[in-house]
Amino acid sequence: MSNSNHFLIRKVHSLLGIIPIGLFFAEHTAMNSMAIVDGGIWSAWTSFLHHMPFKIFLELGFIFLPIAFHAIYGAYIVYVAKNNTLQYNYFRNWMFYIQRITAIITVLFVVWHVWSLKTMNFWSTGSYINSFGAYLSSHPIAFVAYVIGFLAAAFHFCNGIWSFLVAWGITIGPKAQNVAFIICMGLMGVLSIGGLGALYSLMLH
Amino acid sequence: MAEMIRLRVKRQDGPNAASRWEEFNIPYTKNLNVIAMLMHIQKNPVMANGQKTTPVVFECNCLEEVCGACSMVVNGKPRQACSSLVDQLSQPITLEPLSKFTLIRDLQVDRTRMFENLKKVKAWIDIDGTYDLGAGPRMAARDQEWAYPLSRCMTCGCCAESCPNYNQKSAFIGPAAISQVRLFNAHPTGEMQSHDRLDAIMGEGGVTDCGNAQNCVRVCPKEIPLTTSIADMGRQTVKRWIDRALRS
Repeated sequence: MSNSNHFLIRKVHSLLGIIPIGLFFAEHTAMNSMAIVDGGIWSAWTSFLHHMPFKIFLELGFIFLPIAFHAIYGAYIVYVAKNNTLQYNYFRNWMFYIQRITAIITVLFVVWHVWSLKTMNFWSTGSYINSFGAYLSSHPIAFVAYVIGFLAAAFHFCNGIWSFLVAWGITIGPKAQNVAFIICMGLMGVLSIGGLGALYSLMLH
Repeated sequence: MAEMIRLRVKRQDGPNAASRWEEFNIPYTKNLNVIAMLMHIQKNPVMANGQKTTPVVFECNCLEEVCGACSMVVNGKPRQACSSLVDQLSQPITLEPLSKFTLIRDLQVDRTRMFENLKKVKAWIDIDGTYDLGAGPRMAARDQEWAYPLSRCMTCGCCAESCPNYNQKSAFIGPAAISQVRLFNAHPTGEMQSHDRLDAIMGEGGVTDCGNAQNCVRVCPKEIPLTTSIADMGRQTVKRWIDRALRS
């Protein structure tokens, strides 16, 4: 029982979902949402990220490794649960179940998203925003995959903030937990406007 | 002729035997509960179709919802058979054994895992040893007020039964034992062993293995604020974790 590594692993898994993965997701969505306002800002921000020093190490240390750990240990957490939403048709039980479904969707989406963009290498075309926009408008299945993948990631992140607050003992009572959930879903609404708006605007480019 | 209550019971002759459903007609009496229906079957083990069967095996003890022995799944939800009143149940009434524990026979299961988990977290107050230690410190009325409801836990297993993370694949000790850590750590004498209890729920199967599905608090027959206990233990274990690391 008193295996202190277990606590460490669980807490690291929980924390990584917020820092850096959640923060990166929020930044990624905020950056993409610039396409709604102005394609030039989107291109400039993309270029800024693309030209970050030691980019490969930043990608590895702040994106790839945290996501890999969160996803692999998370897959074990998904495996261990025995879902019972039909027998216990309660709201939080459904959120628990959807958190696990969106986890799987998000991992599959992220793998495809990174792999497909790396292989298509829109950067080499000279106008990332136009080539990516053309890709989205000519591949409706990819566009739908982006919508589903984004929404799954947004829910997983926002509902994950809620359970992070419980797991770390920040929101203890039921009322505090309910208020936190409303705020988390508000955040999901804001992120969704930014993310889905970005997809729509990019498709028009 | 008296009104008949239709009862469906999931039966299984042993841990490895196949399960089957048997139906019974039980004559209605005023304030009839599930235990009284099972006692009726013991006296007259005949199914609704007239076929003779063996009496249904079940456990019960206090008959007033304080011992936790008669936990079973009544109409799909885990609860105490003694406080399951027929007047408040939709028919046909279905009875199943708890699914998260080793089945002994019919509706009787082995809840040893629940009690082993209480031992793991030292869910007791150390008392005098070879000599009298004198009176212990007083507990503030403010703390008694929220701690008392936690002491109503009867280790019945309903919380564990409803928990998606409590199952044969996982080592999770379940909501009841975690809530008992909160209870005994709140007691001024029990607090003297608070580090041991927190350390015990920081290992595999401890408080971190809760996934916040929060079914436990919905099904608890004693209305114990289990999810509040779990979140509070989340805070105490994080504090303990940081403190332990910085003092090492």
